[in-house]
Amino acid sequence: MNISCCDNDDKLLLSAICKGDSRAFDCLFRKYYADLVMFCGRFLQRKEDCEDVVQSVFLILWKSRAKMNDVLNIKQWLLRSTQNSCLNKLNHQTVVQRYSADYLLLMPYFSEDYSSNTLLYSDLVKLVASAEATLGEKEAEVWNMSRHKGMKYAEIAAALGISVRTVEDRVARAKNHFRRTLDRYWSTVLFLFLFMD
Amino acid sequence: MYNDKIDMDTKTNTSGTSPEVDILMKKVLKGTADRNDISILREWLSASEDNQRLFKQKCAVTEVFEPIFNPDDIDTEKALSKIHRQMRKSVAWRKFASHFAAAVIPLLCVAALYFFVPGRGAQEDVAVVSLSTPYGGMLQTVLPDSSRVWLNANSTLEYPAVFDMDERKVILEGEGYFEVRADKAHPFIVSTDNVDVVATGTAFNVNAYTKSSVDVTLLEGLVDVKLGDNRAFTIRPGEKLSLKDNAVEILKESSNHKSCSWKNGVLIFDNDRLDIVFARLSQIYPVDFIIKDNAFAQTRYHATFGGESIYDIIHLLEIAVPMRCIPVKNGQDGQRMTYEVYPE
Repeated sequence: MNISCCDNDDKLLLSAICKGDSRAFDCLFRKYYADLVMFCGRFLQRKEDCEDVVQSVFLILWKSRAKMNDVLNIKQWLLRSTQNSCLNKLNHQTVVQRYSADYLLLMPYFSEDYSSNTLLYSDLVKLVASAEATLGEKEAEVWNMSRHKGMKYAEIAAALGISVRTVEDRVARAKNHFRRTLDRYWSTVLFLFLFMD
Repeated sequence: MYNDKIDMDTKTNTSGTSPEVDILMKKVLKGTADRNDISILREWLSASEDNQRLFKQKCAVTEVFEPIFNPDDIDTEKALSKIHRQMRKSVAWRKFASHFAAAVIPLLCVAALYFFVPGRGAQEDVAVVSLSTPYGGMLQTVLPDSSRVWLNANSTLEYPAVFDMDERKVILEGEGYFEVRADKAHPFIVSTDNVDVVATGTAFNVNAYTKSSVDVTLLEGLVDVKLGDNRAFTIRPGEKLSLKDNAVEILKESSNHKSCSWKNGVLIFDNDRLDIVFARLSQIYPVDFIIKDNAFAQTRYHATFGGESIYDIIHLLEIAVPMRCIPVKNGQDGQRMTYEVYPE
């Protein structure tokens, strides 16, 4: 996986968009749209709402293109704008949803200062796929049946002759392995960052 | 409550969290947590950075394995063609507008001048983002220039999606805490009804809930506060500028902590008069208080609240002071509530 190399592409795309190149806009849209919609899922429950938010962010980008020259990092700009639109939508929903105001109190823990190193949904999927290769044998077996063959825990337990509790344990261990892999990746990124600054 | 804490600290499984925390996180990520769940989880999160890190990792793993909707259902091409239609619409409208103007201006010179008076055309290019918070809520976000903002309850912040070339201007109603990214060339301006707070890189709190009064508290750096009538004041860290009906007072803040504590979800009253306490509660919650006894309004009060509902807060006040709050107007259909307050 190579996340940083896309940075240059983004810069080229953005400067073309600033000049009014709609094909560059399409490229940027295709590159980030699905990931941003998944990102909205952190804040909003309905897919339609998420798509609306991301589309309006891209429209803002296009309408403001003459001034976008000042934006240094378009991925960061997209993530921040998308998050802000989601928050706004969430605030309007509080009238109907009783606990949204409480959810907002958790916001600082969900969000981060987004950068070009922020992992998007598709990055996470790739990372996890590479982590699957290093799973323990037993965990891999259970994980494969549950995740890729869509079998229920009880079915897996029966097929392997183990208890459901053991299946659950192995799935949990597999997930922790993924969590640790992500964590290692995050700390590497952070480490590199320190030296770049 | 105490028991919960003990459990979370000692019993841990392979993932480094107690089963209780695991269940809480699952509920939060599924959107089924109630306010009690959320306040326990918040307490656990604020306990250590490791907990926060763990929470972020869990969020990421959940995002991959239990996405809230199926990523395959997202149709990028369909969305793109929808966007294209909207892009054409705005272009078509502009073309129409300019043709229309070209044809009509010679005839209706005066009227046209009236409609195209300064500023309009220039501002139309950049979208304005408007964030607002409900009563009792709060949010934190990052502006396009990397400055951080905390917006207190019942407040609105407006800013351009991209800042101007020469300044970074935001418009605030209500209360906000700002950590401004240093940039001498582009002053950061918080504009309220009465004052402009001008900063280049610094941390400060602006309370502008009421039209006639504004409080500006400075934690770090240096800010200028400019009034509508061309008066200007410079305030230093630890000072608070208080504007009330055109009179300006600069006070030493005993603890900065107090006026900015709300950004951590905490409301602190420290030897404050009861009328001040109620005025503060009215800013954050849709509730007004009428104190029926002037001498009683001078009573001093100490308390710290974190995450309680307004009903709980009123109840705790009644016990502590002691006094009685009687609702005289019920807040239905989004109306504000009114309580009459009697000493007891």
